Amino acid sequence: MPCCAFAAFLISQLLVALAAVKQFVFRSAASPGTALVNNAVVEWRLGAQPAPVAAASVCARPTWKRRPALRRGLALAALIEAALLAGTLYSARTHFANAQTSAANVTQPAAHCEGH
Amino acid sequence: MDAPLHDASKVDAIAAPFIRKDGSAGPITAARLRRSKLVYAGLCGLGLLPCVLGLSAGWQAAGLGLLFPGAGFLAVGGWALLLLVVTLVVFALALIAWFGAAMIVAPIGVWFGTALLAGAMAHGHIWPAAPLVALGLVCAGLGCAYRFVQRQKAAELTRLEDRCRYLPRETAQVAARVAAAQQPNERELTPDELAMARYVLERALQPVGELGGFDRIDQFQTAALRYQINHLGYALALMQCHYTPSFHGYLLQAQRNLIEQYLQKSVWGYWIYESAWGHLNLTNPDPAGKDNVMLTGWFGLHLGLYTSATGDRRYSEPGSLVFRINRRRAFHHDMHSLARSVLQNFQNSEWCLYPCEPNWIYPICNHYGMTSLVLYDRLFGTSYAAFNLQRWLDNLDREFTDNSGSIIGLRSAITGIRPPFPADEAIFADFANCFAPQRAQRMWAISRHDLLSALTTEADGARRINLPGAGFDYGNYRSGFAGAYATFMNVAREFGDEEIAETVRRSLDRDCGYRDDGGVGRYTKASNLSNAVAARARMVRCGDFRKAVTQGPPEAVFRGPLLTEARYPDVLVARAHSDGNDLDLVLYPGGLPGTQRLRVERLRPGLRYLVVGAGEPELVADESGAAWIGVELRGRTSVRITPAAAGVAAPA
Repeated sequence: MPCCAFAAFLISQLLVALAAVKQFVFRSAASPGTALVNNAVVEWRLGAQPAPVAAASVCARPTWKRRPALRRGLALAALIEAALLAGTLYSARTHFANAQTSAANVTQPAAHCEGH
Repeated sequence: MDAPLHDASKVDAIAAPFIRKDGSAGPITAARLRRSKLVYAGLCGLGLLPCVLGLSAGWQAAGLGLLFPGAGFLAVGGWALLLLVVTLVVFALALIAWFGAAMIVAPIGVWFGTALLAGAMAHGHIWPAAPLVALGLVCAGLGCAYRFVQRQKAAELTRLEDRCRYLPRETAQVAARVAAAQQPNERELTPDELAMARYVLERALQPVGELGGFDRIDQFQTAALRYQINHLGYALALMQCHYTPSFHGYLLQAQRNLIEQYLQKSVWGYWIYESAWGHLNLTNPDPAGKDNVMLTGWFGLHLGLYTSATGDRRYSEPGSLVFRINRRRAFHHDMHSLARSVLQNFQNSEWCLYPCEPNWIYPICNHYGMTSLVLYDRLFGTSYAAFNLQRWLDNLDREFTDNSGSIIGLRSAITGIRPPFPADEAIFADFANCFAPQRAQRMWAISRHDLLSALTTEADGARRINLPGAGFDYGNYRSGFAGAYATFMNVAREFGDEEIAETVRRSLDRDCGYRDDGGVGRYTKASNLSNAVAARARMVRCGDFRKAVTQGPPEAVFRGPLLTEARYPDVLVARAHSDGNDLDLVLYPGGLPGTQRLRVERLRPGLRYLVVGAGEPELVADESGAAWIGVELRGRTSVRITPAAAGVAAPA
């Protein structure tokens, strides 16, 4: 079970990292509907402040703020992440504790051996 | 160079060599693929040797790691199997880095690095099933690749059959349309076209070093600043060439600003990294050295169009283009050294075409390169293009053309493989029209045929384009069709296909959020790159790009009077032509109506000129041949300046 938890944790981290890279490189072009928002860059005018138009653009707000479902999904993912992290830490702790006990058994003979 | 098509009877003969009859790869590609297969077979043999010889577990794991990235972890077994997944993910990222930024060290490092790591981790015995599982996975992978290639080939051959049916007829139609649609030399921009021209001018007129209104994402792939700058420059140069060749002023300044922007390290500095991790060259990142046609070809064309349209040869002066790395080090180039770089790379490359990023040969960038040489030859009387063109075209047909007759998107020079990369005929047709017009017309015939299948009629009876999917804007990596529409509109206009161009423009306006804000037009759902292409597409007409490259403006405009000063955006110049003696202007107010001062130069010193459409009915040129006039701008204003009497000086 700790191994499965560790595997799931590791893979989920990779997926999150991949999603982050994808977000960075492709600027969240995943869903066709959401990506066709105004490109704030083209609102720029020579000698003018770009702020008013950019503020009006929905593009100015991050995707997760615009979509409640995504917000809930992120919260759930964070919860699972936390659970996996806790599981991993617990299993690692158990593993190292067992390792220490085993090592102690090897280096210090068991009580029933002492009489011989 | 081939002449435009007129005779339909010749079309069959012309279409035949264009379409590849055999399905085999070209000889250089075949040799590269053979080498790649042999190297991989050798790696597999070497990798299995430790298992066959029963060497230590470390050697066996390291050996299996050569079969494919991470395979060595199969030998280690247990939780290390997770590292196989990690390795495959990291390898995929490394491939993206290799493809996107030429980081060849990335996949090699991941592959061999993980083999060594697996070797170091394996102790005692390997997982007994590891060699069989690894071999099984290799066979499965090769099977999938083979199936993909066969399916791709079958689809291409089906497309070829289809093309054989329609191509002769439709190519003839394109040729006839081109022949019928020749444009007059002197034209003026409409207010709509001026609005998009202002989009370009606004970006180009900001001080060098400032990049307001540019998409800034990465400097390696298609959204890079360099491509935005080049396309803004092309648009302005085409405007100068065909509408306002006798206007310098802010139009010249805007073009020079763009060229200076290009010399900023933030624009061309990507090459320092790419030559380091792609060529393993840490000491000489000369942007106009080996490879990098995406700079030399694109920028060479940019400089050539500017020089041709304006007559300003400052960038042909030795060392006029300084690519500075830091205070101590810079690469001094000029138009000549950029053209020589393209020439030498064509000549030194076995493929004739040569890479953009180290290893990756993009035929489209090589089209820019060849077009830049055609233009350079015209400007400086050389024969660089003519000398290489036949070999270049032969290799394009043999090595970079698929089984359907389409040019492929890219090929790896090292391995010979052809990663899937979209490339419609339309993107090549524009350039091919400058050095192989018949080929270009065939390309447009194919692209047009495909485009027609996406035509639909809306409720109001208007026709529009409905392209499948969500589209992709290469200028900002978002979805959307702005880039595709703008490209199709541009090429349709280049081939005199006004009906298609207008249909595409309608789709572009409706889908991509066209907005005119105070006289500045833009597509709000498009990248800066797509807006630049759209601006150009809105103003070009049949053969404009070809003429800009192969002819330039009429020679008379370089002798006649010149509008050299007008305030931006108060004075918008929609037309400025000279027959060598007169100056014919059409102006619009960019802001409120009112009187504007204009400076005219290259008049004959002391000569009296009649002025129609301005405040004063006549002017007298000073001893330097210059004069100021005041013009009341209220809507479209036509001004004409003609010598009062040729050769008769005004009284003192």
